[in-house]
Amino acid sequence: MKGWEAMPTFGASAQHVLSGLRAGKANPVILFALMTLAAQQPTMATARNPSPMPWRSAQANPSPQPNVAQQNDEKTKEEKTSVPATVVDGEQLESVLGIEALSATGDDMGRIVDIIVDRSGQVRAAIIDFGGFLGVGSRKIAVDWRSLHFNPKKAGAVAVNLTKNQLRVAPVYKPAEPVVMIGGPGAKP
Amino acid sequence: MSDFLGARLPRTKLPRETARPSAPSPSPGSRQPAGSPVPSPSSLRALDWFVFFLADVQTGFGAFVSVFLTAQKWTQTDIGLVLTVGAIVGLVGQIPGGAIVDAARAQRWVAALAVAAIGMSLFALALSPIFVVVFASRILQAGASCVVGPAIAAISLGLVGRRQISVRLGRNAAFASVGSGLAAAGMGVCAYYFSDRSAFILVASMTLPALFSLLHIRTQEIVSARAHGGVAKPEHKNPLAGFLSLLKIRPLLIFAGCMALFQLANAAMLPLAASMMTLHMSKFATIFVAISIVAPQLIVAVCSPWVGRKAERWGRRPLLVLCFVALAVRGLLFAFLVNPYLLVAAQLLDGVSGAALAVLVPLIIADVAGATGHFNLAQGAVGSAVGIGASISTTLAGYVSDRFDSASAFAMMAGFAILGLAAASLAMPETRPQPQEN
Repeated sequence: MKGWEAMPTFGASAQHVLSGLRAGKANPVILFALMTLAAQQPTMATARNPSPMPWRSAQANPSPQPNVAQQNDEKTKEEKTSVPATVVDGEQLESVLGIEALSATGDDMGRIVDIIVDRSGQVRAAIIDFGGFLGVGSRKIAVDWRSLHFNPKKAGAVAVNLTKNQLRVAPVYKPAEPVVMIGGPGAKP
Repeated sequence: MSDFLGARLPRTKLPRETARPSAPSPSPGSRQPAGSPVPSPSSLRALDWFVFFLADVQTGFGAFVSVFLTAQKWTQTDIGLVLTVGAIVGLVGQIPGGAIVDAARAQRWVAALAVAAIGMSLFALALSPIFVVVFASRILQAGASCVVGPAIAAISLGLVGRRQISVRLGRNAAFASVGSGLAAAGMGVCAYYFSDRSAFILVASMTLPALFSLLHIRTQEIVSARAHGGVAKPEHKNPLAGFLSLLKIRPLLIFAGCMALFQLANAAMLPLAASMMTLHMSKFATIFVAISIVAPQLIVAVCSPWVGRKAERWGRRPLLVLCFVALAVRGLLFAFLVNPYLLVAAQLLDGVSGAALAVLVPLIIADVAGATGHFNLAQGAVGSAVGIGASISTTLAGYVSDRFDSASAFAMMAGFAILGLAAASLAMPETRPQPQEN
């Protein structure tokens, strides 16, 4: 399960955000934005769903909409006292789109061009655009997320637990077709 | 890969060949108006370098744009949108672009404006890769390219006249292909050693020498009547009426059909072959993909002056047939070759077809539509056929290689090439004008 090393980074930062939200440590700007959002929610809900949803109308509650608005109002009041937001050092977080993928030996493996998640929102694979010259002849390969290792000291690149040869012979990723994700637990470079 | 195709000429023979067109052009046989100026060697040399530097700049808008935008954290959806919109503008703009060059009396300024627009688009793309800027720059470049392509042919024709145009087009093709070959190599080096952005800046800065060369072509030597195919005024002032009159020229329609078939077979071939190289070569795949892009350009550079001369001696049709034979053989080799290294060798045939077409496309159009005064409009019309063929090719080849395999896709493309070969050898008439003397 060596490949799982990459996951804690992701999971930990998500938890960090959540705990921060609860603890109420927040940048005032983010805080204000969240409050505004929360305050707007009832109106937005009404505007987007002018008629009650079928499953709601089936309930005993005679007037679901005002109730929803009321609940949201209560929430807003709560959030004014304890506002969910987190500040994370910019160097701790990183955008993954477009960063370089490197093999264990430091070979250039291409760039991450997309991230795919499953229906539960779990990150499953990164799409790496591999090979070619000046954009001609490259192949998009789905690499199991667990094969990716983010080096805390080196931003802008990710190490892939696979060799160039393993990557180049993998089937090309095509949206809406069965996805072959290479790597994952048990992969040996 | 039409970005890498497309062009024009050799440096070593330069002074000798420039002297040649100038000397015989006022020969009694030519139908040019009496006293029309003879192009000076300096104007012809300026045209050489204009074509060379413009090809550099245009290479910047090749497939590398999508790599650059990916590195700028663009999503694939946005990249696809920008490329598609650019391609549509490039297709739809062909005919209006030709009409603009037809209507213009000062081809040089039209070309200068278009080149400046292309250069600025490339700078904007490199320096500020945000959606609005990239979107606008891609549209501007696509539109300007629709003008600059016909404008180069018109300037060449305006300088040297019908009698010398085939040799001139051969030189143009050689210079342009050396330009795009060097630009691709230079961009690769810059992207590897410095940054993606520096690769764009390198080629974008070639706009300046391109404009500088263009301004050294003396306007008074570009005879407007010649540039419009030898007549002072077009038959129809209204471009639409002009276009409808072109549709009645049967050889032009057959030729447009041949070109659509050519691109249907050709456009997806290099990308698919390069993808196969990436798949099958364990080492040096990148180098071999680079070779298969740059090497055909060098072949074009060597062959196209020869094509230009032979087009006058043998006629156009044998060369058109040769072009399709090379394409069909390349498709079949790609379909049946197993050794990935031989793919690179087969790709050299791309240079043969490229050299033939770079000369023949403007030449045949001048032959069949020059006399109508709608030479540039006709170029735009054939350009549309090329664009339609190319865009269908990529989609169709992608579909076939997904559903079946790449060998089937290559075999299908070879089939289109054989259809084109049949059209060129059976339906296409010889268009070389009868020699005036003898």
